[in-house]
Amino acid sequence: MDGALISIFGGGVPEHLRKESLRDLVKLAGVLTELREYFEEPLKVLEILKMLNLIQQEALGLDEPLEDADALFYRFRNRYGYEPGIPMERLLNVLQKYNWIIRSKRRLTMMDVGKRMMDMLIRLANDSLAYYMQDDVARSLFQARRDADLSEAYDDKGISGGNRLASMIRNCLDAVDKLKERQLELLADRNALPQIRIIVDLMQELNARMNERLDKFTTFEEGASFAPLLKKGTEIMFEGTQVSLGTLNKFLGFAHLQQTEVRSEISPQAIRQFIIRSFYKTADSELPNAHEILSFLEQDRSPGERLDGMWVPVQFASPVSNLQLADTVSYLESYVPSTEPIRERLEPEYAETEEWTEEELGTHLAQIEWQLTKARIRTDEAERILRERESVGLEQLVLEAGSERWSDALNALLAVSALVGGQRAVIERGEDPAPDLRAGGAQTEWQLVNEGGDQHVVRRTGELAQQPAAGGDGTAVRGAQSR
Amino acid sequence: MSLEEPESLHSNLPLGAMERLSAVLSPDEEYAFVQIMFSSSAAVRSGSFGLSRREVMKILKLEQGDEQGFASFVKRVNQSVARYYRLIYDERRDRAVVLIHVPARQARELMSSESLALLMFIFYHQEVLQNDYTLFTQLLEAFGHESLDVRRKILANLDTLIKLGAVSRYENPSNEEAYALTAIGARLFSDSYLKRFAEFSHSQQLNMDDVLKFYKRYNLEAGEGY
Repeated sequence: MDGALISIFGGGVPEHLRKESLRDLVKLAGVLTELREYFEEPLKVLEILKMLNLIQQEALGLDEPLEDADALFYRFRNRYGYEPGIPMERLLNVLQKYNWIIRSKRRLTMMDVGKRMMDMLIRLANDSLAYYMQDDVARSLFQARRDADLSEAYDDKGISGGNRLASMIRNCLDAVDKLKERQLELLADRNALPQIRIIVDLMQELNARMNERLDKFTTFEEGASFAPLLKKGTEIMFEGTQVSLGTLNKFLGFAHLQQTEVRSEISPQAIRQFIIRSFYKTADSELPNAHEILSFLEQDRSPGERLDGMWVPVQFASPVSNLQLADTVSYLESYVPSTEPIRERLEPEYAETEEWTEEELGTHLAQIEWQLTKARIRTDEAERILRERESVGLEQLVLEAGSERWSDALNALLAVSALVGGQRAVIERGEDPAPDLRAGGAQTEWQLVNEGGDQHVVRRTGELAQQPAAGGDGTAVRGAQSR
Repeated sequence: MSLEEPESLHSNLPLGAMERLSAVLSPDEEYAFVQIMFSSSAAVRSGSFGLSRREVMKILKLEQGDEQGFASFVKRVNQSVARYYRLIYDERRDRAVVLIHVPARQARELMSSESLALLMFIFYHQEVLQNDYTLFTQLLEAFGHESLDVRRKILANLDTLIKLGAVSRYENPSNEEAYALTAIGARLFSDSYLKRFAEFSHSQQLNMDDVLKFYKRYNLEAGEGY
């Protein structure tokens, strides 16, 4: 066997071929996804498999050609005696979509991908069935045997079956462990002989095949790296053979014992020897140890033996209260190991101190003072008008910022004086640069008292607080389509 | 478990046997039996379980010299519950203990195979060969020629037997390590087990009577411990 097996994980696979082969799996996933509701219940899965089987048989030339969905439907009904619950049209459409079949006017044709995938699905189901038909010891042995088969079918043909040998050894190990666990039960069951025989046969067959496999690997150029694996395989097979044969021999030994003549003299020598023998683990002899004798008693060959196991001092457990039990159970059930790293104590972050010149300090203070003023007096309107126009007549401003109402005008006037106080505007003598006609004609409840008939104009001087602009996002949409 | 035989039903409910006790035991005797049963538990009084004869006599309100009364009490308890329980009196250690009958399946879980083999050796050495005690060196000689580290293995298994009360350390003048079988140890193996054990050692069937004779079991009935 040469070193380079074909494997999807291998390094030397051309990239396009790897993609191609993985696309098969994508197609499989596609079919499974689209027909998902039919892959959620065992019976529906069976129906799908039956359907695929029909299509496949036709493709293999075992059946007449299939024309269309109806033909498939009727063939299903004839073959299985009931009407399928799956809409044929949909099934075929999905299969066509993923290139499993091609539908022409007068014929359904299976494609290669479809053939391989359907093969695989049906084989998978059959494998599972064969697996579940075994009892639990034989199951692992059966799996090991499958591993050997697969290894022959794949590894020997240069295609990687995926570490079959290791898997085979693993399965044997499981089987032997289970067998050791169940050995006593098997001995206790009067009718266990066929079961034990099956296990022994499987084990022996497996032993032969394991050796065959192992030989293949010893001639392998990288045999050295397999050495521990090979050693393990040999050991486990030896142990398995011993345990299974031992079980069989003991079982038969006990059965044989029932057929013997009854003798009446007892030899102390024989008793003594057997006592000493029974102290040791006896996997390969047909003489049982103490536990195995107890198992034989369980067979109840002479009535009442089963009950007559031992006489032991009555043992009462010291009482444990229900509450303690409940607490313990809930503790165990809700126990969550703490896996989070230990939290470090967060150091408070200190802001860097800033240095201001006297001038800056002045502006900051003024800023704060202005904010305080604004908190008490509503200057927004007056500010808005002054932002629009550099300078406005006082009367005009009061009218616009306030209204014809006396109280509003007073508030507006207060705002103006606040602006002046905050050094954001000045009041000068002068003509209103853009007198509004409405101002003259408006019916107001108030009038500004003009001393000496002077007009006053309010002019903007300082920075007026801009309304914060709505967050226009500065990030340009940069979704250059790379096509 | 099949329910073919009514016994198997009762064996799952050994306490059902208690129903019959009141017919043969006086209230005082019943009280004594239950007391012994509870004190038999090693979990309650570690080391020495069971009650001394003196304590039992006190509960029974018997005169402290009334051997007959005590023997009759033991006998009547055993007659009424013998299938499930056994009240035994170990004279050497002065302990009255109640044993329970354990089916084969559960018996497997009580002790390791090695412990049972060890006990079988001591049992054979003292009951059949009539020795008063078994020396540790004798155990080593018997079992020590096949496996490594056998000394530790024997000690560990002896420990199990001592905890169960089947074997006790034997104080002897020469101060050697020695072990003696207790009344519990002498009765731990069931008759069926002894029979099968002997059969396997001979690879031939044997009569129960012959086996019990061989193991000197024939005089154990009814008056337990006498």
